[in-house]
Amino acid sequence: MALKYTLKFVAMAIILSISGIAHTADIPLYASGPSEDSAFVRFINGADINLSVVAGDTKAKIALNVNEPASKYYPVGSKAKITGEFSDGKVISPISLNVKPSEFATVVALANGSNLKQVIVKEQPDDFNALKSSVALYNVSSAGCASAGLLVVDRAVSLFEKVKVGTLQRRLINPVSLSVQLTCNAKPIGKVLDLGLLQAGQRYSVFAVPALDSSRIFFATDTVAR
Amino acid sequence: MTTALLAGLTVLIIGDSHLATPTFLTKTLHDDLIEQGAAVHSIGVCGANPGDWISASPAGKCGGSDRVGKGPATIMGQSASTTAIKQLIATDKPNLVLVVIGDNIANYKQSFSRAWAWQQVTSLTKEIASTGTACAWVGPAWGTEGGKYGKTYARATQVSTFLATNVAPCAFINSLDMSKPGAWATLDGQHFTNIGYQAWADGITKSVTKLSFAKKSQK
Repeated sequence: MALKYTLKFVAMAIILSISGIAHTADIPLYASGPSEDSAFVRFINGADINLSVVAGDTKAKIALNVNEPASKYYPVGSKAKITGEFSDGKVISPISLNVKPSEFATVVALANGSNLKQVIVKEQPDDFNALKSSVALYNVSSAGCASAGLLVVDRAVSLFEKVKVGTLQRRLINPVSLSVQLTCNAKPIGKVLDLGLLQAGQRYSVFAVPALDSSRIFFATDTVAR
Repeated sequence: MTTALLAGLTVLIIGDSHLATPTFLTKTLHDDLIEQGAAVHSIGVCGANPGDWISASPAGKCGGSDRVGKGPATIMGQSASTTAIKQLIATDKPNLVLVVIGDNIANYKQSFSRAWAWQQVTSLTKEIASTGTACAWVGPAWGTEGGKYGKTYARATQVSTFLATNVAPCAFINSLDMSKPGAWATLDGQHFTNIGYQAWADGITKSVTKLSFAKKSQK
């Protein structure tokens, strides 16, 4: 009987040895990812005057000048309400929104007579790609641009078509030099916008906003604040 | 006579728990690369996410190890901390940074946090790229399904596919191509037995010798 158990033990030892089990390895359990996905918010000046944003909790101030109208994306928690205010120094427009996990929220301030108003557009991108450039068209121009698009200048092709007000479209393209022109209801509008040489892995947003005569576009690089 | 395909090159390896125990890749991959002629520095911190290598972080608070050249690994224990990648690169001046992080961004027990993973991965690749150092990223291996981390082949595939298109300008090394699912036995679904770690190291080393940075030095 003793011999039987001894043989059994030897056999077990051989099996363990063959399978190469590391007896010393005892890895404590650790998290392999976050409890929920990241969420982000950014602020855009779609008016034609300089604005600022003041955060409701920290009172941190971000300048949104006409020539630098886009903030970075800021990581936010999905459980707390995001509060703050846009201001031009005279009038304020309170900000209040919730952002869900995986969402990238964009809060655009627009002129509304002598006041300010806001449009909030949210996206949940699934096109992350470091080998391509990601370009989006945000249509927040209700001024005669119910259906926005972007033409690629000199190539006679549409990058986007039929983007409804308050929505966006996004697509991956090769990292090339690009100039675009806005279309409203399929008609070219305004000046050509040079986006320059797009970078692989970079994300970009073109915004269509109201202008004095109709609509205009500007673009921003989508960067995340660290 | 075999040719040392990485002769004269310095490789810095950073990673997670697969490099935090002296018998894991800290031994097998490290030794394989030395055998190919490289000078190697391996640092693994258990539970480390890519973003934990931007600045010093205790990461998963579950240990780590640090090994330089042919010497033994130094066990970091509970005080384990990452070191900022730029600091490591400035000190070691590597020809290649090899990142071994896949399972830690997989969130096996929940849905895949794509936006978080994108933020984590790109923050590290941009930091490495800003130094002009060549880099390669090793994706997750199959492991075995289940275990205390709840690993699944479907999620390993999803993470591998995500990394393949998101680690540029780093090259991507696809560990799933190195074996069939479940072929390498594991201790807990995620961490391999010695045989698995040797096979994985052999596959990674083979891929590293085929990278363009290595081929340039072979001319």
